[in-house]
Amino acid sequence: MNFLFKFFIKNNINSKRTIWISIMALIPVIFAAVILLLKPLFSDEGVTVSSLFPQVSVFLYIHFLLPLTAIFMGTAVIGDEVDGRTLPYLLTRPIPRRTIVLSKLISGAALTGLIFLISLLVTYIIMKQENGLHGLIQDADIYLGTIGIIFLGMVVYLSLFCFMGGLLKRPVLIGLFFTFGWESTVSFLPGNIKYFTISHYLHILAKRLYDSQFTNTDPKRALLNLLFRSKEISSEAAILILLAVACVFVFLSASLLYIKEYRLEKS
Amino acid sequence: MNIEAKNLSKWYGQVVGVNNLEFTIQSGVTGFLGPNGAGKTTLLRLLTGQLKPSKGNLLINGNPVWNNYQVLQNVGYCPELDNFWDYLTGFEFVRATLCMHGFSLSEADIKAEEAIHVMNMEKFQNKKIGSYSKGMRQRIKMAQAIAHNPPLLFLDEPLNGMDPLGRRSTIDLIKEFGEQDKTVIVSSHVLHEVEEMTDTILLVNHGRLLAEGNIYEIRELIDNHPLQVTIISNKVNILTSKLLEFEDVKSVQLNREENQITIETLSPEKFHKRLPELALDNNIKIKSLWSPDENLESVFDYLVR
Repeated sequence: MNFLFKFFIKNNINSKRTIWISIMALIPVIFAAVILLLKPLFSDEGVTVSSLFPQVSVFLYIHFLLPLTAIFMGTAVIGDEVDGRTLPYLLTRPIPRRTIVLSKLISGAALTGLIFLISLLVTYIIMKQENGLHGLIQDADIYLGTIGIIFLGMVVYLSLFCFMGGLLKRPVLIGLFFTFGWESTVSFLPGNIKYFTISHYLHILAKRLYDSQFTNTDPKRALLNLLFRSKEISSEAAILILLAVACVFVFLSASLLYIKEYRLEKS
Repeated sequence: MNIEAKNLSKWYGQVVGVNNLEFTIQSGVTGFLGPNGAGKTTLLRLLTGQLKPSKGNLLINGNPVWNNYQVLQNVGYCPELDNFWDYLTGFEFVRATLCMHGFSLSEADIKAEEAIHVMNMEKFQNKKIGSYSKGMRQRIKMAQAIAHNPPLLFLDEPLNGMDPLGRRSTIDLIKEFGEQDKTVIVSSHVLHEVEEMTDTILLVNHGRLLAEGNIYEIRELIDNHPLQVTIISNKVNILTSKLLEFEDVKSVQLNREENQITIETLSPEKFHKRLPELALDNNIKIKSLWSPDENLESVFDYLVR
């Protein structure tokens, strides 16, 4: 497992996908830098750059970059070896098939997690620099909490898309539809249907983390929730549900390699 | 090591991969011989646990192969697919596959070097596989198959793309493995290649086992198969009448428009010996001569008929 983990990390580092993910991880950094440059335009209205950090974290990282990178990384867990026709080298070794899936998943999560860790750190420093070093350290829990949510979300999305990648013929397309079609639409609907999305639970965790800074920014949603009496679950319950979803899809992905045959033709 | 197939079938939807195969293979080299699409690769994929039998059993030393990764400890596999993690060097690739077999990095280093030496790839071991020629890729694939010294070797068209020297040394190596009491299965669609490695073959076509056993017995069947020879000449009429006088010529088909005749002979050697003499004596120019069915496929067709 240890060797396979290192092998797949190296594999991932050498893939174009990782370069693209790294480039995409620059988007929030550039966005933060632009906000900083435009600061004089809105400083009169009492809005600080620092106060926008939760919005940047939630909308750019949690709702956009996290699922998008997970689609490309997750569908590649089995899909890469199938498309690259290197699967026979793995399947004809005395290694349990679940170990192959787990090693690839963990290496994917570790590498993407590291990219996000750095990207978010730079964004955090740029946006919170007005409070000085003392402020940066004081708000470190916000940074650590955000990276925790991102990492948890990464594990859940990766396991889901890993399963899709092993099962479906066009997993990226279906993944994109799931994330930016289903999840985006449903999260704005009142009622309980949003409980069938991953983003909802991540949103709950983010809301609790940013507390007063964030909940007040979305009065329409608060009103809708009030009207339709949609109950919000606790952070602990959200974490448990996300972990359970991850476990189910890791299990299903590993089982897939035991059940499904991959008939690889010459390229 | 003993391999046993009982009633073994594999279908891909409506398509038959292999059909109702029954065989037992003991140690030594065995050739899977058959034309492209005969079911050789399917059989090797079943043997390496990549595919699940649709019907019947496939056992290695009494153990089923599908979803039984322990069996693979004893298996070395050289796939037909020419794909790699191209960013790896040849050495890194062989070492990685050894580590997947549970060897420590230091053990893997030693074994990888040995295997690369055996396959005569030392000069290129530190170059990326992406830059390798077809023959080099084939040799590095062989190196990863033999590196852990497995008692069972499954080699899918191992000589594909190799240069004559590489072919020679690989054939010798395969024979050597057979003499060491390893069980080696080599698939090929080229009869003389297999002949050089072993005299035990399984002849497969359209997923069925056509013949099993000694290659010389099968050779005899093949020798009874009339060989077609096509000739383009400036005097096809005279050539046709002269050729019909040969006892071994079964039939002659004349195509005047293209100055071409196609004959069927039961004794190709005799025919090829006498033809130049005939041409000289009658001042006939042979512009072109080839055998359209000098391949295994036609032999299989003949055997199936």
